[in-house]
Amino acid sequence: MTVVDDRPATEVGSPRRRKEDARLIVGRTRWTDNLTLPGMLHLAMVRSPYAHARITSVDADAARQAPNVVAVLTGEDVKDIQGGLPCAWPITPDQKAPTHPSIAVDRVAFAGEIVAVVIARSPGEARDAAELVDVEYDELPAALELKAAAADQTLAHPDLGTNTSAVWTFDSGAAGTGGDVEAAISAARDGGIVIEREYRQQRLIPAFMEPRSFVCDPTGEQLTIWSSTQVPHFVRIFTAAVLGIPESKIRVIAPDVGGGFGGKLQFTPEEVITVLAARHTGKPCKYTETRSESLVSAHHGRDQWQKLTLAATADGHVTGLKVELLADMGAYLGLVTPGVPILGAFMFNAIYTFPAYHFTCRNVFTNKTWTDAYRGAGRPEATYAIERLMDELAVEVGVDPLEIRERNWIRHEQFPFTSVCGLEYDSGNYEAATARAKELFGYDDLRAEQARRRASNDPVQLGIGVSTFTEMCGLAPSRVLGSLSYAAGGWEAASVRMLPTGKVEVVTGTSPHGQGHETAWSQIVADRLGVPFEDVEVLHGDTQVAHKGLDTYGSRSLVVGAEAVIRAADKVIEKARVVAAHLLEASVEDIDFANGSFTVRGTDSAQAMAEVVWAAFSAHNLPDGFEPNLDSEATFDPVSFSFPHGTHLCAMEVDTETGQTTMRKYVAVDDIGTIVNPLIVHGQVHGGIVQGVAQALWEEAVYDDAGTLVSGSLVDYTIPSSADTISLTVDQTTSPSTTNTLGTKGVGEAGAIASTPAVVNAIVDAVRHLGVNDIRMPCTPERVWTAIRGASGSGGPSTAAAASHLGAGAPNHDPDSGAATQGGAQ
Amino acid sequence: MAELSVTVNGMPLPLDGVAPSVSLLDALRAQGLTGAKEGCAEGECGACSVLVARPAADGGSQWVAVNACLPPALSYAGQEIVTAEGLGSPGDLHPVQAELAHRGGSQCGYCTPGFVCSMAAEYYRPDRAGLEGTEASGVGNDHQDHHNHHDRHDDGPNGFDEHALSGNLCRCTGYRPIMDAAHALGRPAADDPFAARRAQAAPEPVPAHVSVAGYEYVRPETLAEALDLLAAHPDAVPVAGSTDLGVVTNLAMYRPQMLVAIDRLPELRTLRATDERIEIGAAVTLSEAESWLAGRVPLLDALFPQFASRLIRNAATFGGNLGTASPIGDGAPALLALDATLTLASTEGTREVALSDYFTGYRQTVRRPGELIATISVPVAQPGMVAFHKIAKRRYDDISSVAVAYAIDIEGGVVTRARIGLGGVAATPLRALATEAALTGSAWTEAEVDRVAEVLAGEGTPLGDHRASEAYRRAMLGTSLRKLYAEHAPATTGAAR
Ligand SMILES: Cc1cc2nc3c(=O)[nH]c(=O)nc-3n(C[C@H](O)[C@H](O)[C@H](O)COP(=O)(O)OP(=O)(O)OC[C@H]3O[C@@H](n4cnc5c(N)ncnc54)[C@H](O)[C@@H]3O)c2cc1C
Ligand code: FES
Ligand code: FES
Repeated sequence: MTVVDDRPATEVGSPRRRKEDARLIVGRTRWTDNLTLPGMLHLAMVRSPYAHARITSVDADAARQAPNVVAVLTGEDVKDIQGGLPCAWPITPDQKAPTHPSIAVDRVAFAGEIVAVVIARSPGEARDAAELVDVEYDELPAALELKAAAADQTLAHPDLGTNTSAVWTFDSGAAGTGGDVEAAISAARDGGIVIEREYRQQRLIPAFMEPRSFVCDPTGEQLTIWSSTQVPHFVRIFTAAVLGIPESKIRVIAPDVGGGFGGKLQFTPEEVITVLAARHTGKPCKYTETRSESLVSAHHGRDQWQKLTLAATADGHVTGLKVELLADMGAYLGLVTPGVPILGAFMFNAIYTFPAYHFTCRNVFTNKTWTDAYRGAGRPEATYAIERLMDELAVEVGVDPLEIRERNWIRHEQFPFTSVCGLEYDSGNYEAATARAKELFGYDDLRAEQARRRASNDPVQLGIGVSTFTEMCGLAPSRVLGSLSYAAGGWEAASVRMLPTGKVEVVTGTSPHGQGHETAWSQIVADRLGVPFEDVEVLHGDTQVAHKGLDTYGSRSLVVGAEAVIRAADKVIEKARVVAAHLLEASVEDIDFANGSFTVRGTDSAQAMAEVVWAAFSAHNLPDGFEPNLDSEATFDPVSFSFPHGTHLCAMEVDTETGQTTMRKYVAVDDIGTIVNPLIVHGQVHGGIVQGVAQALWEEAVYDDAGTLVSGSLVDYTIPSSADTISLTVDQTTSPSTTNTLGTKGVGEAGAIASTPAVVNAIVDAVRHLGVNDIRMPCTPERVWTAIRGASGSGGPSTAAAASHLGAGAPNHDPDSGAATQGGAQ
Repeated sequence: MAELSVTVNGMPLPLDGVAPSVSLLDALRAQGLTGAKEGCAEGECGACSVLVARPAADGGSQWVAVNACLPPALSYAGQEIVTAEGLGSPGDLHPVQAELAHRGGSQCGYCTPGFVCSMAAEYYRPDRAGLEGTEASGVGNDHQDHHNHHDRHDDGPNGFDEHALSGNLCRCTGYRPIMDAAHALGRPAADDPFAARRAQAAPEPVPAHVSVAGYEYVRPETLAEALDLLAAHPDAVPVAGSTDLGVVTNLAMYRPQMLVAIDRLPELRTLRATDERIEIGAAVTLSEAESWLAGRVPLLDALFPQFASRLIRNAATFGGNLGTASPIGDGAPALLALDATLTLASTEGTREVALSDYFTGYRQTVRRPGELIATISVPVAQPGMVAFHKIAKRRYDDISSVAVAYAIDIEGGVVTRARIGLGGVAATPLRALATEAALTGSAWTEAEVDRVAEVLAGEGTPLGDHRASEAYRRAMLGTSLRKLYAEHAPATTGAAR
């Protein structure tokens, strides 16, 4: 094995440049929309402009006559073959759910729902013809506002008789994992502290940069589906289940995928329709959504009301926490829609030693785009609530917010620690991360500056926000998922194939879309097998190559997926050891393996891995009965979650005259266990933090009173640009996880989980002396200004009828754009 | 008609049969050049950014990045374009691409080719000042914490102007690694072909008259020809930078019978300064105007960075901005404050109209059918105190809730002349006449400013919408004047805000 000189001692831990990049950066890529197949047809969707309506007629004759239109399919045409879209997570046995057609048949339940599809020879012709489909609707009253919907004022699905889909409860007293919350609250009401708050998790849109695109080719023996998805394996299973096609006749490929953040963790109507269209026409069909379609029809995220009651002793030791959630499902239950709030249920107690805890969530239907996983899924909501509350508690007690956390957190010597939810936290060191963060932040100096600004009544005030978070990641032990009624398991599969020339193919069941698995998995395998990093090829995202897998989401790929890779590699070594022993004429027990070489203990005879691989390939000289094959597979089912944590500190400046906020400083010190590639980790942390900051400051999916998505374009759904972000200071402390070989914990969601409360805490801290104790997200200049003015304390609703005298149908920068023209019928 | 084509990465890409509604982006992608992508089709995301060779002041050319999703492909006939694929290849990355790879500037990679083009344009900007001695892109010179709040200047240490990336969105990286890459860029090497290309003139777009399926696209050679077409075809629509028209074409399926390209008409591309007036051709892009003006009109200098993004400004024109007559456009308030005059041209001849008389109602103006804005001019004498306040959610590239442009003269502590232009407070851009009157003759003191701020807060008839409520818009009008005072208080001693 030749080892180049500047090679790192171990690949794991080195900031390898990503293998994926060269291709992506020069634009030589295989995005689904780039694919063109012979005779390919193109789809355009006709979407409902109404939030809730009965479809009285669909007249597609004019569209069928339009140039180069091949077919138009309506709900009526496909109602017997389209099946219903699946929800994989019925959280309670009595959960209510409407059937979820891909093409609405007689009723639409949100603006943007598909009512017909036009199939034409070019995308432009399909789109033009879609305008000609004449759909008549009888408008029905729409359930829009979450609280009103929870009170069943208007029914989103009249047939269900209620808007409540399910109510899910966890109670530490009942579960035997902790005390009784009500007792803790009544005790605290007498001489202790009770904090009651209601927070809003606004509706967000994942807004991945690559609009979704699907291609289905029906011309081979197998149906081949290309999908810009995070979950090709799910797409395969559900295409089979929903359309009744044998799974073995379906191949799903996720080629280059341009971001997901949970937004592509879905089995979509558009996927089903593309398959239906391809089977109907017998031709390859492609559908690529526009940005406005993406914003209105790809699932949304968050959208909860959180009612919180925290009980504590007078000196700030928390004695109980009660959480009552309303979660907006939107119009339907997607793949894991109902489970998203449940993923947060075990995280409200966060890093703290709360003795009593109660959680209830009511899942509610409305006539809006359905919600589902978005970066963090459940855990950002939980972290936001508890970290906001801990700041409030600090104020009540009159101590620094870091001090109040320290009084309540799990001390490092207490690990492994069983939380009030019964989860075992394997490792962590909150003291270390916090100390490091304080130091990098210059905490005391900033506090001093804050005091000066307050004293001088500076129009620009300074606030400091704290967020000490943990998350459960590495979804997930299959048994745990089973106990939560989730349909699938949480294992991951991998195989390692030794090619005769010494190159290595690693097949992983994870399906990256920006996370750099090709690089990280190569590093891990290079170390394991002692082969050069460049010699490892990572294959993924094609069910014909990686036939077994559960894909990428929930910060699971490294802690679950890479563990499977390691175990498969170890099996290769064990097989090769037998061959090496045979070649070296030694007994297997005496063979050591290190740096890609097998040696006989106590001698200098050795066989390189490459030689062993060749011997296995040629099979001329193998031990009797040895199957000439070193390739190995492994499937890893984690026994526990992993619990990364960190301390994030944020300083925000608030202009009290305009409400404008400016980020001054942000420090994140995360403990994510062993780091495989610092470059990739930094990227994940940065990107995650900025997404979380965006929730705090800019992003919100806003509906008007008619149920139209007003923020239906990137003009109005304001994701941050480079000018809105500052340089973040990112560092790590490390307490390796004890639940996997490398000690890794998962990092994909950490930033997004931690940063939102840090920012809002900082803004509230900046203006708390003016009588503000909450500002509803996103903390836009207007909301901050309004809060300071004391109008409502939390900013009003941000919808209002668009300006009538400003006219309709105007270009993108008019106040009324983004509404009917873009969110409605296409 | 001769064959039309555009040169892409050194090869001709035929444009025959391409309809006027087909964007440059779609034409590129149809030919398998899939590096540029559609992220929004409305100029917001920059995933479609490509480089085009445009004339430089010295007679050579410069590489300019533009959004490919907005202009008709036909408007690029005869021109020269480079995409991310043309800059480098996986085995031979362009210095900008290498730097992005080195810094972790790409995750999912969807946005990356767009960033590459925007960055490359800045990399090749001839007047980019920078650290001397930073030779050919030095992968490895690390640069920490450049833009924290206190030195939030927009130029990196290597002269990289961060505005170059203001029109590119990335959802994965959080931008830090991209900015690190930008700040680490050195100078182009001596044998860099794209740098060398700048010495030759940029190709001029070729005149064209194309008809596809009944829709016509015409690029006339002279203003007279253009005016004749507009007079003869009442349905004809002039197109300049297409940053506005492109959006309605893509999203609202706007399909005019005839498009008349006016972006390269020499008569509309004048830049002239006489003793009295500074004149900007209606078809000059905002970026061209910015660099030619070189600070001569400080209020416009305050406007430019707040107007859309660099990518948009590289195509957008003042003619188009006033042509749309949007009530929330940013050009009008600034030009109103500057007492701008428009020259309108038609087959009947030309006439001058004061901008303050131009707007008549929501998206309505005194401009007659067949008439074009030919030039915009402002007096040479510049007001003593100028500012452009744009209230929006994001720092750049956002829509104004309210825009206020100030041009104020103060003598001996007394306001002698005030012009204030407003956007976003009525159906048209407005002069704040009551405020101007209240201010003129008043002392420039905190008390007086407080009084006049109330007048300003009462101007116009702002409406509430999902971007901002009426109350907030009004309050921000008043606050804006107080901020102006804080920035320009007489004998400022403390920290001005
Ligand atoms: C992402 C994005 C951000 C934007 N941000 C801003 C912003 O911050 N502030 C702002 O004010 N605007 C903004 N705009 C709007 C637009 O960029 C400007 O209005 C721009 O100045 C239009 O110029 P253009 O040359 O591209 O016009 P075009 O799109 O070519 O034309 C616009 C209209 O004007 C007419 N027209 C063009 N030239 C003339 C002429 N010489 N005489 C008569 N009529 C003419 C055209 O027929 C058309 O109706 C933004 C647009 C986008 C896409
Ligand atoms: S596609 Fe988004 S700017 Fe062009
Ligand atoms: S790398 Fe994914 S959007 Fe920029």
